[in-house]
Amino acid sequence: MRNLFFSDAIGELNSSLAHYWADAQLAGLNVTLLAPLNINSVQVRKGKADELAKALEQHHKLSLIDRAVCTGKSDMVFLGTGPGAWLAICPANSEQPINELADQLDGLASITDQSSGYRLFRVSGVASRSLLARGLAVNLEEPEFNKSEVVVSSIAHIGVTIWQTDDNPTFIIGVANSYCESFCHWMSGAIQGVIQDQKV
Amino acid sequence: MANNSTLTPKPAQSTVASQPNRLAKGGQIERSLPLSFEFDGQQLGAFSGDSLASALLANDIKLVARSFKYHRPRGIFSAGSEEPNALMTLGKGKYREPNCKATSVELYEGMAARTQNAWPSIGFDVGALASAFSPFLPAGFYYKTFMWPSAFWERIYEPIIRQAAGLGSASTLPDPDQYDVQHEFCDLLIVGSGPAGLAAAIEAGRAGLRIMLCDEDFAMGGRLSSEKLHIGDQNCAEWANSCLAELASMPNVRICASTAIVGRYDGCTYLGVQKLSGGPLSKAQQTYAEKLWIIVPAQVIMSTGATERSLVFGGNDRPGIMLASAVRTYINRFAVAPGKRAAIFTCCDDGWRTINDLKAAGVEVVAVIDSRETVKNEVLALGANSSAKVMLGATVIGTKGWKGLRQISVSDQQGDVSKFEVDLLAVSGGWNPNIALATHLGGKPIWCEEISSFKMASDDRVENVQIVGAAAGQYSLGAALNGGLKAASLVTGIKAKFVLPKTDDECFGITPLWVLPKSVGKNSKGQKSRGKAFVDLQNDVTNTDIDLAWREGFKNPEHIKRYTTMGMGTDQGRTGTVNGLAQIAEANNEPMGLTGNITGRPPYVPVRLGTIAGLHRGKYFRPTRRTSAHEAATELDAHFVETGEWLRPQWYTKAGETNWLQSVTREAEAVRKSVGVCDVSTLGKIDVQGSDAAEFLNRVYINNMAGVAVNKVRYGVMLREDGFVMDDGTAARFGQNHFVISTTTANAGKIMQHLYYCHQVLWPELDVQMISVTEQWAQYAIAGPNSAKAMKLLVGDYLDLSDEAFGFMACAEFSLDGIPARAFRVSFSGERAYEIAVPAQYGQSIFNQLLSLGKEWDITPYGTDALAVLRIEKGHVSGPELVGQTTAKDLGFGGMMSKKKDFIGRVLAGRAALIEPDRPSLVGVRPVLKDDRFSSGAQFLPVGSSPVADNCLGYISSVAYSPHVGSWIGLGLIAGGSERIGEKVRAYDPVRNKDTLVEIVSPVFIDPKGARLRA
Amino acid sequence: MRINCPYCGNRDVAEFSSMGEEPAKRPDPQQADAQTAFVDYVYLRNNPAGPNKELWYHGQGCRQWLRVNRNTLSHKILGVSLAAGGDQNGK
Repeated sequence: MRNLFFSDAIGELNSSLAHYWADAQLAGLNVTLLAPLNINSVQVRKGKADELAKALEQHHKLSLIDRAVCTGKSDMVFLGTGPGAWLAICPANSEQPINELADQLDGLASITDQSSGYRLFRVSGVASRSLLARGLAVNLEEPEFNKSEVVVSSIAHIGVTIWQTDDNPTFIIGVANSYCESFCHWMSGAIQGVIQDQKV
Repeated sequence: MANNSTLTPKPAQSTVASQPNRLAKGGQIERSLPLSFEFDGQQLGAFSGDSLASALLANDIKLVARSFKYHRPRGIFSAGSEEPNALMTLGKGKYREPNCKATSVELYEGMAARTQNAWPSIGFDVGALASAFSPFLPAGFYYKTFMWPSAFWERIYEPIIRQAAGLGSASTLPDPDQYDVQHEFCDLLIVGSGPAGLAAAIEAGRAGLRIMLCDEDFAMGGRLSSEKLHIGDQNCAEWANSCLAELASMPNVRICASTAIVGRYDGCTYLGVQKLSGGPLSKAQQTYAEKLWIIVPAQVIMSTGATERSLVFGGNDRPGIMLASAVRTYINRFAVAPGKRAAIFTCCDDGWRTINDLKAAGVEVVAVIDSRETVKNEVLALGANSSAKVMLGATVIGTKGWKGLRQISVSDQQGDVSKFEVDLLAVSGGWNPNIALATHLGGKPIWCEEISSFKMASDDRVENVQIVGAAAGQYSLGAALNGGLKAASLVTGIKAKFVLPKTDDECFGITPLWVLPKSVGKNSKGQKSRGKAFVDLQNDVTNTDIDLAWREGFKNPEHIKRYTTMGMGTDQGRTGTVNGLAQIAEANNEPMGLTGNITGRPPYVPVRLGTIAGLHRGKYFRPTRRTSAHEAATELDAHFVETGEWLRPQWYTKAGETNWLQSVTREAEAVRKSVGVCDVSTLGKIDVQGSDAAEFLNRVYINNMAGVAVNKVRYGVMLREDGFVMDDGTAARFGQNHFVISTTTANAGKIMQHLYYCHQVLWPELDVQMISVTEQWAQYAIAGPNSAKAMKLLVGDYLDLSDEAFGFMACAEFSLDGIPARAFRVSFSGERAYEIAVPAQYGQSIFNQLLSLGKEWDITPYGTDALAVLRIEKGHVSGPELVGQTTAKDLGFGGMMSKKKDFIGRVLAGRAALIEPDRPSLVGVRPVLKDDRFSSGAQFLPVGSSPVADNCLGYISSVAYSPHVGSWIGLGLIAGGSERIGEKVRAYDPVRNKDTLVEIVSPVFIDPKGARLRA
Repeated sequence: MRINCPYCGNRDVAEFSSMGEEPAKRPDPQQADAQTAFVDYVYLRNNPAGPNKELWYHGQGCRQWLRVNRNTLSHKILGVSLAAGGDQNGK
């Protein structure tokens, strides 16, 4: 998992949105907007759950779990977003991975490309939870929050998909494309809140 | 609030010597950090740690306000948020904040405070003339006066009342402050940092629990900083400080001062409002003035303490009359002597503790007046070292001193009256546990005779909440400490480890002195209590007001509250309502327990609306959604319109254009003449797959979708189950088990929710998987006679666009130079048209490519307004016709409704009223006089009929200026529909003062045979 | 208010939208008195003061419809289950 979200080529430098988190360092935070990855929605077809699990084990050595958790390895991650529904994320490349997954899982699951549907933000630092707490009404503190959990919720009326990738702690926040700028506006305000907290 | 001032403290001015009532030693103030502030233009000195109230008292300022109705001079009454009198306006200009309780405000360097509700000055207030009219201004007087003449109400009475009413005056400028918000999911929320709260915090904190310890005061410690009691061999204030120091060192404990927990909500959710400040001296520019805490604790300990209540006697509201505990607080916490010659009037043991504190502050205590005939010896002993005259079974029956107390009259057991010259009267009518938070979800308190107040029943355990200490009616220090400890131990689940030192165990006996004839009526010698006896100080409600309300038929406390406004002020009647309830109980001849208490609701103290709004103000009220081509559109001078959360180009302004109609007409003409491109990314797109995908769509659309061939598109309509049209769109089939359907922009979310409902609730047996792909695909419409040419330049190398391969209503998936793409041949405009969909990350570049490739045909970007012109000309319905009150038949889709299958809405669409022939149905409309203009919403009336609802035939739903027709045109619904084609009717619009003669025509104004579509 | 979504866990009510009391099963459109049955189905509800079987949609979460048994007087939630049940993926 670490490789997938931490590859050097993955951060989008010079993003026109970067000014929204210009003060992140002051808050002890590191914020990056990831370059587009390959994201597919995978929804199991009726009665095919076991076969789907077998196929994924066979093709990708991935143990599928039908819960709100993140499973996977360095080059493919499955995030449970609802019963029988996942987001499959893998590195972007010039081929058509959607066709690959669609072929491998033909008849077992419905695959839909969502690569342009989400932008992913990577936030890390000791104050990450404090930052997210300024918008997310879900507890990310341990031990209540299990590190492998996937949270599909909302921040400032914007739908988000959040999961933790390491103990820094680092969180990935998926935001629907069209809401990106509004989300960044929330984030810049939250960063100021963290900074003000730290001054006390 | 942020004030710009230097960081260096002002010297010299703020010394003890310059503050006449400041004690030379003691208190919890920071004498090394003097402050200066301004009050009604006067420059005064104080210290860090002062509240505005203590700073004023230190400077011997007693007259601080004028009461609400009678404009009576008022002084500081309490030392907390229960303050009814001392409301101040702080700040200037856009920072002005009225009605701040001086007792709750932490003094900071450079504060500018002003009195309110007095003109021309607090000392000489013309409003006091109202006092002279007081017999005519009892509670509820406005229900009985200002009735006649009725015309006077709007022009004369209301403006005058509006001017006179209220206390402070708010700034009308936008709030310059910003507000933070934070969610907290702690193991334990402790509300109140007095002895019970601190004991609990130490025990649970040491056990490692994640704790949030809150206090609404800016200093923690509760009454421990206000009393001279001992915990072990430490002064209680010292003990509190050492606890706080330990708690501050625990990383699992969050200490939140200035944080009022203002409400308790379903789902164990609590709202806290924290005033953020960098401290009294720090004027560093702060981003956020306040923070809203949304707390979901696993457990709660309510150690919210208790509030002292007043006594009701004639003249009980003068400046210098103060709650006894407040007197002790000013002396012990703030090192301020609130007067020079004092008396104490009490009905409970607790009031007697004030004697020694006053003495230690150098204040002469001339009398201790206790309404009880006998008092315990240990209590009497508290007055042993004082020269005060002790009077038992006595009551104060009157006071003198307009701008400040100077004399009290006391009636003794025999009825003889003696007078005392005093400038300070400490009153104690008993204590009320602060249980408001516990009652916010409807819990009803019970009357406890032992403490003469309301508390929560001990066997009515509110979910996950424990009430301890004074809040539970356990007033002694020892009981509070132990109560907090025990509660914490229940939370940690282990035996308490914190060993509490020995504490003073104070007496708390009480025999209440209610507002009975005994207190305000004639005494045994016929001496009468003189002057107004106030039950609610803030709203100027007297005992005679309550009596009058009762006589007028209001017997229930909730009615009397609303009729008299008792308890409705910013102090929520905390120091007086129980006295009022006792008066009502006596009048009803019931015990207090039966009369009951008034329901409390959040917020507990006033909260700024800005704090609740936080980030969501102005244009950030809700999020904004932008399409991929937003920047490109901006560069093309697009004027955007809000469609739900989306920003869509409404039109694009070309150089030289001065009004929207020019631009819109130009765009519509360009499409009809050549080619235009429109961003239609915002329309909902839902991917539907699965072996039952076709069957599922058949059940939600009125027409046959299962029969659509692969690579074909079909227009469809969805009904609500009640038979009315819900939405329209297209279904494109890309595979046997793969459809992509479209919805209108506004209904995308609603349709998605509806489809999930149909699958998950109605037909979970179907094998169908759906997901929104609105975000995934950017989509552009290319429309006009030259659209094929432009489209060919863009995708011709990758997709066969010939009419044979790609005829009207075809669709295809293909690879556009390596990126996945979809093409559709559909038309909303009535011209030959295509739509191209690409993943959103490529959207803007495709949009720009189209504009560049289409240059030779003058390709024109067009917005939603031109789109509307085109679709209205073509008679296509859209949002204004899909209003939830129209049926498929009304809109001309009756024939589309399949008779061979069931679908959502089919049965009820067949209701008699929905199929009756006279229902308004879709037509076109144009003006009889070519240059006339009408607006949507205009109602159809027969010519010559009177404009009453009964004559209404229908209305105009959509309007546009049609370049094709050369006049304004519209779509509308009219009874009889197409049978009226050729008829002339009136388009009656009283809202815009228009009455236009129009002709009913076919809704299709252009190309009725559809030749252009297939050209 | 918070709801325990079976898939997502304990969540704030802002993530959900309420459809209100769940009607009885959707009538058979072919039955004789279908129109009357559908009028009842669409418009009439019991509206009890007490436990109420409601349908809520977790739109800002797993997008599942939930059956929520909620007491309309005390606001206590007595039970939550997926409307689609365990059937959805054939388990």
